[in-house]
Amino acid sequence: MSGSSFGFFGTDPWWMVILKAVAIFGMLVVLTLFTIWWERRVVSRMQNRIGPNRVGPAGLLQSLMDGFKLAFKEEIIPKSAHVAVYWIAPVISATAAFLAFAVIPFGPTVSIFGVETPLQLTDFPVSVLYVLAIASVGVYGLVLAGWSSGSTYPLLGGLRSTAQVISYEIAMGLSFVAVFLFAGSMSTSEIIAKQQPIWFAVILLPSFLIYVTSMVGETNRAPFDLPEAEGELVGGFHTEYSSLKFAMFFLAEYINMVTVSALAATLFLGGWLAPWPISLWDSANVGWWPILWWLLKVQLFIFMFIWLRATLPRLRYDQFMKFGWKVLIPASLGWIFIVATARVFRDDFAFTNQQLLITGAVVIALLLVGSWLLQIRSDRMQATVEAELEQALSVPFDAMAGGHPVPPMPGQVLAYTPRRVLAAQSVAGQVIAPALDSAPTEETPYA
Amino acid sequence: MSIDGELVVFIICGGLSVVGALGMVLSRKAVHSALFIAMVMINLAILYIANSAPFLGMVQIIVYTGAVMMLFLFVLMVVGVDSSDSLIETIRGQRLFGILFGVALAILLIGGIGSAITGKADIGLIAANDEFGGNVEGIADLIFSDYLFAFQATAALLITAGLGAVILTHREAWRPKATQKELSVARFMVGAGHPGNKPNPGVYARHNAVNTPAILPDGSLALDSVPEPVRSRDDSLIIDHRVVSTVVELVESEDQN
Amino acid sequence: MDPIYYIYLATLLFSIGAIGVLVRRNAIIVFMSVELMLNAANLVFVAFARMNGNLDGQTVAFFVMVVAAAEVVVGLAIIVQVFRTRQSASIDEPNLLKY
Repeated sequence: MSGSSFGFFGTDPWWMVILKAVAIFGMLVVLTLFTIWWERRVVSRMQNRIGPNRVGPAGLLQSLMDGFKLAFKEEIIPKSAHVAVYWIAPVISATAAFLAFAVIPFGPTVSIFGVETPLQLTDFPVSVLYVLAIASVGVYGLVLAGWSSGSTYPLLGGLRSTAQVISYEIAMGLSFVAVFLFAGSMSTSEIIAKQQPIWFAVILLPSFLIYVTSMVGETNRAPFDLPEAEGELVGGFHTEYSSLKFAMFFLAEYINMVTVSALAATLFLGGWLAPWPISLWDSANVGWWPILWWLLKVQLFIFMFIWLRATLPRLRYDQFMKFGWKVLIPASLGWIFIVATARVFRDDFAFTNQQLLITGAVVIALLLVGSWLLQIRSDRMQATVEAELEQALSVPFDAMAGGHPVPPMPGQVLAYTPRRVLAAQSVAGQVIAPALDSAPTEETPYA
Repeated sequence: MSIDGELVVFIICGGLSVVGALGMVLSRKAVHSALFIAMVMINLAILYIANSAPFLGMVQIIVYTGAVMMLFLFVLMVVGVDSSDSLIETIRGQRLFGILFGVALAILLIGGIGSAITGKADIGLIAANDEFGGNVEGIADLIFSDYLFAFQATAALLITAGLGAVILTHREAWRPKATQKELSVARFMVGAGHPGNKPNPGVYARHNAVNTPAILPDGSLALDSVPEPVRSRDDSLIIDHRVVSTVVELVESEDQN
Repeated sequence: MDPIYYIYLATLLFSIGAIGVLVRRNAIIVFMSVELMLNAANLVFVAFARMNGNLDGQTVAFFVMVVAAAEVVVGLAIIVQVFRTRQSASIDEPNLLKY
């Protein structure tokens, strides 16, 4: 691999790699325990309750104790489960959740035991794609859990999660494109370096909004938690799981939450770079301080997740899919088109920002006028189509109209033929006399 | 990457991918096949990265493992996962000849290609990757210059394929779909049945078994609360003697309906 | 390490895929075998790109992936459609054109 532009990456001594990996693992587990406690406390506050406050200071150890309890519970494996796949599904889920964190940067280069090293396990030219790839492997855990349980609700939950994660991954991937265009790189550390004067969340606001929406869909969190909608699917894909295997799914869900939050912070909020008033302080972006800024940004997103869960009701499945495919993806594509065009005009035709804005305003005005005209036209066409349909339905259906017998469409009724009249008479024993060439009227079309 | 490191990666990933490929062909259940081939694809992605193709490796996982195999799993679940192969051969000896053909093909290709390229120099991609500043940039430069036409053509192909799949699996909706409002109105219409949740069996009854009807506030029984398969065998209903006369009436009226 | 081993590996995978296409009767598994063959071809492209020191091989492999994705979409749609009419995913079932 060409490592020329990647400075310290790939040059760490072996013990440093192990140290960083263990530190990240530990941090993720602790963050999960903390996030569960934090979520329960915040949701309680929002619902005028107190929440867990018995174990440890302010109930902080509650999730640790819950974890112990969960691990020592009896494990029930359904008789109809496909055991090998049933075992491997939670492992895939949890492993993928941990793996994605390898490329998330926590801070700048620091010195650990006399070795200069960046606060990031590794980085390579396509590390954002790596996160996407790991996320798509993680979905296997959900799908396989749903299938291997050998039960209906988990299967439906698994299917839903596949459809959901694939759909929202497209929107997610598209929201990255504008960031790649501006950063000129797909490596996380370079993307952060390119946000030095101004964060991408500011200049690429639509991308940021699309990402934040799709990351909630991607992690199966409320209001997009359809794969585990308890009112419809009991527990979704993990209905049949218990004990440690269930704990692994739980762990994976919370780590995924942290991962997408960290990715949002990295790509759009400048990662470990200090926020504005603090960044005026010279040593804000050196040494160990940046970890604090990073943690604050991640916690901001996690709080947003919790807030959403406490506030919004769950979407209906078809509305949710419609939103993903018909709103988020086209909006992403349109935004990428605008960004790319603006960059071409600025770089190749030396447009100033003012000229770009004026051109943009003219284009938007033209588009508005055009859409108004199109709307008038489509209204007129709609009226014509409806009139034609009405006329077509008012004429009785003739099966032999095209010279070839065809069955009636829904809403059309076969005319009574002499043979059918005779058959009806012999069954009922009395004469039914419908008009031979007109459809009976008790079945109205489009009932 | 040092020479030895690459050999270790090759042996592990190459071995696993051969195992996965054999597993794909040999497993009876289609889902197991899909899992084995997903394993092959991930191992091939690692081999791509070992061959200085990090971009292609990631695209391999995202496109093949994440999208293509996921689509396969999705279709498997729609089409009935447990549809296993029949063991009856349609053409006699086809299996034997198929395997023979495969082995012959392997020998031919290994022999032919092997003798053609053995001893060829391994130039490596470090110079080519660094020419434009990296692997991604190098591929991008090729796609948007020499292969621009192919790129546009594949774009058109993808859109056509997407449309084709939509049309193939499309089922014409002849009637407009009922909206949530219409469904709700229909649910509360007179004669439409019970609008809300029905009471669970055993509510306020002397037993809580599934075949014990719930007792309504006026003391009568809610036969709706017992699942239909149980209700249709009325000898299995546990009946509370306090209200047995009502029950007989209710069962009779139920039968008439 | 001599990159020719990658070619041998790819050949092996290709042959296994070919056997799968010839031997299996479930349309979906046959389709997976075709995917395996495409993957093997991709591995050859990547290995040749590295041996020859230019990126054309990788670019072609990229296009193979895109075309394979398009092919899978249409192919699976056809399988679903056949399943709807015949309630079977076996490749022996849709044989009406024979008569």
